[in-house]
Amino acid sequence: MRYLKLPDYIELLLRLMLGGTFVYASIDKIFHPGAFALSIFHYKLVPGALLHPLAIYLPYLEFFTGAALIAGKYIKGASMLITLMILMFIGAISSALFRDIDISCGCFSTEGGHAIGLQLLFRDFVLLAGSTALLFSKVSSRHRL
Amino acid sequence: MRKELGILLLISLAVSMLAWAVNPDRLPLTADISSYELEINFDLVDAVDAVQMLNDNIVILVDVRSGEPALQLPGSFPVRQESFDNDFRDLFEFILPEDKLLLVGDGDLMILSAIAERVSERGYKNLVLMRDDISAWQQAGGEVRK
Repeated sequence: MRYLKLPDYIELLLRLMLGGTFVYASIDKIFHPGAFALSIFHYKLVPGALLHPLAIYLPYLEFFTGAALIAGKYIKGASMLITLMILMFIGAISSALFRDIDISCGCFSTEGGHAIGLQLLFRDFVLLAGSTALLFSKVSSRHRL
Repeated sequence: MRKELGILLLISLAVSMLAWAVNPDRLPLTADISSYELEINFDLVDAVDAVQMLNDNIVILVDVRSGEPALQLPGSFPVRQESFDNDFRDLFEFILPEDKLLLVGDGDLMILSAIAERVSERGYKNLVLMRDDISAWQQAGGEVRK
């Protein structure tokens, strides 16, 4: 497999940016799983049986993958999971936009937050570019925290 | 990479399960979809917020419990499912479409939802529904009369 060669400081910056974003995004959801379940429900994509398990599990997955990136541990695994999660978010937001559902994204706060729109989709694509770059980069171990 | 994925997935699973198990207010694993549907269609509040709204005089209290409940809510208008049309006619004389109505039931969201739909169909869209029952209303400081 051929890897991208990222300068060390870019790699560190990407890890901190992505890791920080995911850890920050997880906190409110961890403390308010009920409100997060309602946010997920608004998208009308998840079957009822999976709604609460997902609302309980997903915030912790965001937290630990984000923390792993910040700490410089399991970088490949964490960037793979973060890439998959961002793809899932992009799919959910695109689907809601396509169906013209007017909801808030539930990305960082379970109480309102940003209304879904193209701006939000653009932000997710920026995050996706970062996580994909990390996933396909040759990770150095010099900047572990 | 596979090992890293496994470790992260398992750590997240273990910690989320542990946090769920020790949380006294934990979310049930099976979701009651009807309550989510209700939450989307109407403003759903708990007993504490409902009592606060009434104390702030921003809502008109509507009691949707069926029959003749042992504990009455002073100042409330009864709108029961079994006599909806007659009860609503009495209420209709006192309210305007823009008034905010607080619907209080016995905690059965299906009944609450059904009555809220019927009130809404008559043009009264500004509805707030209390998700809790009357004992929670009492505990929150809501007034009752025997």
